[in-house]
Amino acid sequence: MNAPLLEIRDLRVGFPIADRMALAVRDLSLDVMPGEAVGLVGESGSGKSVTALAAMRLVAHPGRILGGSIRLGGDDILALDERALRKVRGRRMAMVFQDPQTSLNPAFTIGQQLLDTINAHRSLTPREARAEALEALAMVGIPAPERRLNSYPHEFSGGMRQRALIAMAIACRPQLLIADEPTTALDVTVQAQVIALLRRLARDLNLAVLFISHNLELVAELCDRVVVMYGGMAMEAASVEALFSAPKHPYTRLLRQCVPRLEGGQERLLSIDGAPPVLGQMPPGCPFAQRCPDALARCRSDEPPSRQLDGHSVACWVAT
Amino acid sequence: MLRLIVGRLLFSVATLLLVGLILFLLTRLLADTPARIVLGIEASEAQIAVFNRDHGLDRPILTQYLDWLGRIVLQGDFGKSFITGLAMNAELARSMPITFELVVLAFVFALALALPLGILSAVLEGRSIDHVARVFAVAGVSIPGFWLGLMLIRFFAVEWGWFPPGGFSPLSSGLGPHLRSVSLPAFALGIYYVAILSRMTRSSLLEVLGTDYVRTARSLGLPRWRVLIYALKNALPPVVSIAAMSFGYMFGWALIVEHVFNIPGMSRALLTAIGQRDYFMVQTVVYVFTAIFIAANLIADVLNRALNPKLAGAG
Repeated sequence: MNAPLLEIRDLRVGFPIADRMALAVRDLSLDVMPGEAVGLVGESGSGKSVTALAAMRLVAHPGRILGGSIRLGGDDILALDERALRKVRGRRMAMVFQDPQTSLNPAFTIGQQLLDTINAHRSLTPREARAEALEALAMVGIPAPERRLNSYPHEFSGGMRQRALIAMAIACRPQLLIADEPTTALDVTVQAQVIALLRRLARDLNLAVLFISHNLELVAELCDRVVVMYGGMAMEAASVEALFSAPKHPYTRLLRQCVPRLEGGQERLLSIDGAPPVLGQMPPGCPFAQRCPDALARCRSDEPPSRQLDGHSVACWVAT
Repeated sequence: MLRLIVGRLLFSVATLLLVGLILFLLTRLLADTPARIVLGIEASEAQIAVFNRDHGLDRPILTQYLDWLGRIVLQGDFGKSFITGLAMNAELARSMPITFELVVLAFVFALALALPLGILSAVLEGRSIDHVARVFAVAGVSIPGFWLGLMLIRFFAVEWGWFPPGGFSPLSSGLGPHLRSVSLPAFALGIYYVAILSRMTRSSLLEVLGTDYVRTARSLGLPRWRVLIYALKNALPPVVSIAAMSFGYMFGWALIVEHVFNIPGMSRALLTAIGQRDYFMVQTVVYVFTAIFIAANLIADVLNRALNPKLAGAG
């Protein structure tokens, strides 16, 4: 087995709330192998986006990475200074964000923004850089890239903007693409196209993808492995097949049932009772214990360690 | 873009016409008619009628207005004062360049200091430079220009003799003396706007630095200066608008500063006119200031459309 491309170990990210650091990510560990697509799934506030931002060292002030390690291709990301970070960002790993409406600079053309990314990392002649930019646009399926180079973001539809952002992210051929809910702000039909695009890019460029989503269906379509997050912790990690066919963690099981299925003829949508814990008011023990139908007394006092179970990695006292 | 400029231009012209009309009507509504002022209260109705006929004041107001405006637009002739009989053009040519230069110098000084200061305090938010700039800005907006002017004269001119304590040396007397004579007034006039514009720049830039697209730029590993340019192009429009307004307001404040420094600009012309109840002169000066104000805003508009392609497209 070869070494992981992205290796996150015991990551802790905190935000100051009422004079103390509240942990948005608690001892999270995660691996992404080269060329592998890993889904990071969870409800809003589960810490999945913060994890993604931490991997890019983009956690916004006043949030802070408090502990753990993040390695990309063996290099310690947390030890890099700003200058070294700039060489990694956009070059070795890149990120696509949730809202394409606000993620492009409205005052510059798509071509300019794309060229700036290329020029930040590679010494090319203007002609070569332009050729690279055109190729990147063509790769993400933007029609008539020649013409689109001179367009401003407001002349693009939401789906096209997200494609343009993906083009910028892959323009310098990173090994890892972190996609933070890249389809949430898009129409359903466009969602499918963007997922198909990501799958194609991952295959063609041998790109590893960390795909963050609250949507299990999308994750199943794109990813090889899934990590389920809740309350800042990894609840369960397994291959897509294993997780869908035999979820071990009670939370994963309930999450599975919440996905509406047409063929099942379900009469009503299922939901999990209660609400996720709020940052800063995290209960002791397992963060899911309060909503868990199988919770034991122990679950409310002791944090469950992660353990291996039939190829799953599960953080639960009761899962068997 | 061209259509936009033409549209803005037409709008500005309409504004000027309207302001001109209002100004004209207001000066005509005053109880002191030019004839009374010139001929005195003992003048007979017949004498007044003659005066009015000689100066065309017996015509309908609209005719008078169109005649006045027509001369300005077609011949560049601002007419003659009814009171002093002096040609407005000569008055303006004498005093306007001085005031204009003073304002331009103060404006350039304000921008040259405010932009770097605002950018630095946004980029280094919460660091010492930010706090120093904040204190400076509060002081800048709180200290009245005339008092600052007096203090500048007291120390930089009288005490240390670095600058002349007042008066105006024309360019013909040499560049050095000329610049020295306008330095203190330009500083006194500009410092308030350094404070305003630097704060504006800071808050606008801070807001943009927190946007998603700046995060995108950082996530792509763009150099720091490039990220700053990305942000600035989006942060500048409000600063440009305020700067344009400031340029217009400066003409008002310039009158006080000129008075303090004894500079023979518009201030002297205007104060003399007010003293003589020469409303025609007042009206002309106010009209010229209005035109400058509108022109500055027009330029700001065009500049902002150029900075923000979304607005340009919406034209």
